[in-house]
Amino acid sequence: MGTDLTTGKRGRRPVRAALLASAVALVMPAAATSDPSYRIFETPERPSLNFYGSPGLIDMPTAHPLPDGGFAIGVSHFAGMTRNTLTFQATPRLSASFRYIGIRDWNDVVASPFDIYRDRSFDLRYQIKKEDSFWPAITVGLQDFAGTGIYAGEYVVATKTFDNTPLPGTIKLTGGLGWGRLGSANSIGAPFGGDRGAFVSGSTGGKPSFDQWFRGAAAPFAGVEWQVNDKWALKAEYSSDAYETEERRGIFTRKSQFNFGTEYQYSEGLRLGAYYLYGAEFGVNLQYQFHPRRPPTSMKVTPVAPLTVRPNRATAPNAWRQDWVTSPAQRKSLRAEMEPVLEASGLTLVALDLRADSAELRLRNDRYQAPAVAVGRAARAMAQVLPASVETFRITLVEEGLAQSAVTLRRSDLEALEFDPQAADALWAVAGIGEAAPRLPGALKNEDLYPDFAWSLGPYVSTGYFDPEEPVRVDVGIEATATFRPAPGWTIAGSLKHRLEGNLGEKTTPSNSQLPTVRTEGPRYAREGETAIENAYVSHQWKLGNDLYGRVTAGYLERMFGGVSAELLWKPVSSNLAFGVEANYAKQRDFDGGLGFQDYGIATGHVSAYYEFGGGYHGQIDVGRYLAGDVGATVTLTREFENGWKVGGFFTLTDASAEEFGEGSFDKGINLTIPVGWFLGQPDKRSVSTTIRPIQRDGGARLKVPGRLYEQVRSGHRNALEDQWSRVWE
Amino acid sequence: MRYLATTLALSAALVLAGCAGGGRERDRSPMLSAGSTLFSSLKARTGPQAAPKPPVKVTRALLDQTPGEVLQVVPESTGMPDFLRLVGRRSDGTPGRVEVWESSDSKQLILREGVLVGTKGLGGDMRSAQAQTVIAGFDGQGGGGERLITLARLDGTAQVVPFSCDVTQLGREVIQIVDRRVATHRLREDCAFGETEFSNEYWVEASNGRMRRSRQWAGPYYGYMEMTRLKD
Repeated sequence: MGTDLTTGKRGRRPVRAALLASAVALVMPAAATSDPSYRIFETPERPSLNFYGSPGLIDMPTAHPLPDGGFAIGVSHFAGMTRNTLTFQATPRLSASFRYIGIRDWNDVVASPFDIYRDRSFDLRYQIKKEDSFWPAITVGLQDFAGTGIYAGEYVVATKTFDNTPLPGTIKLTGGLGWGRLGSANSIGAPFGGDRGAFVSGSTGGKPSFDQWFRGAAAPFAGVEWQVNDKWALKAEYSSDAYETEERRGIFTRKSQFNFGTEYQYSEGLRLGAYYLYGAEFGVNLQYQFHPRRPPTSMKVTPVAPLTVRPNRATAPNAWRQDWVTSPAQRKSLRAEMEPVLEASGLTLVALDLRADSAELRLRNDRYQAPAVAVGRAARAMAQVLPASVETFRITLVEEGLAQSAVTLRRSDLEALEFDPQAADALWAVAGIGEAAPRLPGALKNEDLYPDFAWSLGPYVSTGYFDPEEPVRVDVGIEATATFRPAPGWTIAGSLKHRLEGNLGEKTTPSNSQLPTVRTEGPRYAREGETAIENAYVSHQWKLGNDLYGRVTAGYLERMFGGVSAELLWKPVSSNLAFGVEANYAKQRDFDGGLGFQDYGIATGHVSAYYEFGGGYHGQIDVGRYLAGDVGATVTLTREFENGWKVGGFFTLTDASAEEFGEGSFDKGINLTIPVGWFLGQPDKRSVSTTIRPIQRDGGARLKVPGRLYEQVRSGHRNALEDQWSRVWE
Repeated sequence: MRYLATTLALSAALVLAGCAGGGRERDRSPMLSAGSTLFSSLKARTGPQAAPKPPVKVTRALLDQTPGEVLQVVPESTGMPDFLRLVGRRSDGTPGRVEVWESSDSKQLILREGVLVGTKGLGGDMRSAQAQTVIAGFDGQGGGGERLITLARLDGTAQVVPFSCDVTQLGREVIQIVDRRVATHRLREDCAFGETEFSNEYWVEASNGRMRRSRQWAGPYYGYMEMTRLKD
């Protein structure tokens, strides 16, 4: 994820550039060496987790990574300390964790405004050596690496597996050296010298404390994990953590450095553990692991009838006649015949251009996350309906008025390859993926598509996280939406929300921001807008050229801002690279969610570059001016899975200094997109997305504009088609 | 959390009350779909159970009444027999005739000369497969070799697996199909790829070389199924 960046202080650009380079250098080789072909029959080994929610013993880490792309959720509790951690194995060797903790009795001995101390922290782990028959696995870890966090510590750890011992099961031996918190008990001196700042409660934090990593005292730790059988495991370790802060605050008293525990594998994903820690406390640990590649229910798509094969030309010459093409009535009836065939598969005919020997079908796919499924079904619909003389099929996917790409297939190839021993690969080899012209003049259009009106009424839930007083805040209510599409590419849409219950607005501390309060007034918006217009806008998007797409949007774009927005995107069908430019003028809306505006207005916009590195790694850089008037750039790195899962991390550095920004020093967070079909096991094009920020401040804030072009456009381009092409015959 | 109960109650009420008009599948709220899926799965679990259908006793008279050709398939995972109907038959560039069979719940099996070369709609499907190494043994001798099978993973991608297969001729055997006795060659096919192995059995009618009965592997997620050609 490489949220490996620094302070926003104006005078420190060189440091920032060097760090950016090192972050990219760290991530990119890993991307290049990733093995995208995971094996169908192999269940990758899942290491057990420690109390920090990363692969480990009890309180100490081990060196094995999670399965590539895997997720782990850990919830641990002992001595009034609860740690909730989400870990993602971003590459085969690199993992990142986000943790939210609560420590009880924080102000018992040392004065503090909080009885429960809550904090967020990030970890990074990188495996520098994989385990082989002789050498152990070796991993380097940075725990709570941003700022002088309470859990700040670094380690180098080695783990070796032994499964040929006289004992049943598998034994893993681990030994390592820790710094910071992990070097606080029985240290052996400071091998890399240096002082390290102590943890300061309530500091701004949020920046990588690279000047402290591996500095100060170091101490060894070790442990053993014995997986006795499929269900039960025993663990014992010697910890190098002295829990100095916790002892000073009277949270618990440590009597020993040895920890013991047992773990039970309840199901494939869930593992439960009970422990006796530091000679003083009992603890529990709940570990859950899951993988985007392994859905809870497998996707089942109802098949369509096999391809209709044309009769032999020699024995049925009449079927091959071409005079139908001159009859407008016959062409219209072919279109009418094809519409219900497509509709049965959840596809909509947009336009059909018929010639004697070729046909182009433009269609809308509202059902399949995989565009290849839509293409395969459209091809079979064409073969079912069109006369035998039509040999070339062009299938063009259209997304809200934008023709994405044209897949050209020869009908005789379809007939020959449907049951080929390698049917999908063979078809890919002869399929042409090319650009689609913006318009298809002379085609038969589907007259029923416009104007189109849709409405819905349903529940909504909005959440706020990590407030020191109330870690999770929730509003629930009802939402009414309406969408009117008068013509292709035109959308007039709006959403009205009414809150029934909730506490998002109960946070009454006024914003302490030194920047214009473009985001930190969130609670006030929630409080004063019981019934609020979430958005209401007019949007038009169209294709300017074969590789060029445009959009103009005006109205109440989001809850906090309204205005006008224009975007231009260049994205060739087969290119991994895309460029975009967006310019907006936004005015801050009234708190009550009505039609009024406040005085604050700003011209904001970005130039963006997007790149697909291959193997599922995606990068994006946006450079421009943000809502609070600060100028800078956002870097986003995302791991994307073929089935639509996306996990990304981003950070934004602008000319707003750390002091101006406030807590957290700069904007950063995690993006998560989960396809709805992954849960339901049925084809579904929708997905749910969320962005988690450790804290929302005013610096580096981007305007939210509905219907940005890039994701819409590339969802039907070559890489998206190729990702799940194996499903083309589904 | 103090609002939890209220939140849950309200969401439940709203999910059930939520509604929409016009528009497109993808415009609908994912919460509504999730809610209705959850609701129907709970209903299916807690509602009154449909009485299990008594197993159909297949008789010649029953078969005579059934239009078209009939293939009986018993998946070993459920043990529940189903009777499939033929929806497509064709010859293509690859040797062996292809048949597409459809089950009562609209899933499809694709057979080339009776050898399973594809499944559709099962989830974790066999996308495509070679069959030549098996067909070569239908004459009571020979068969075997490398057999490529493309298996769907659960993430929308697929893997081409080169199984190495041995075909063993088990000699002649007379089998009973409804009221008829059929003389067959019996074959066993043992395939392996690394640690993964499967073992199929085939009974091929001696007089015309057509597959009458088989027990075949449909991939790691579905397992084995037994197929009997009841009616031509």
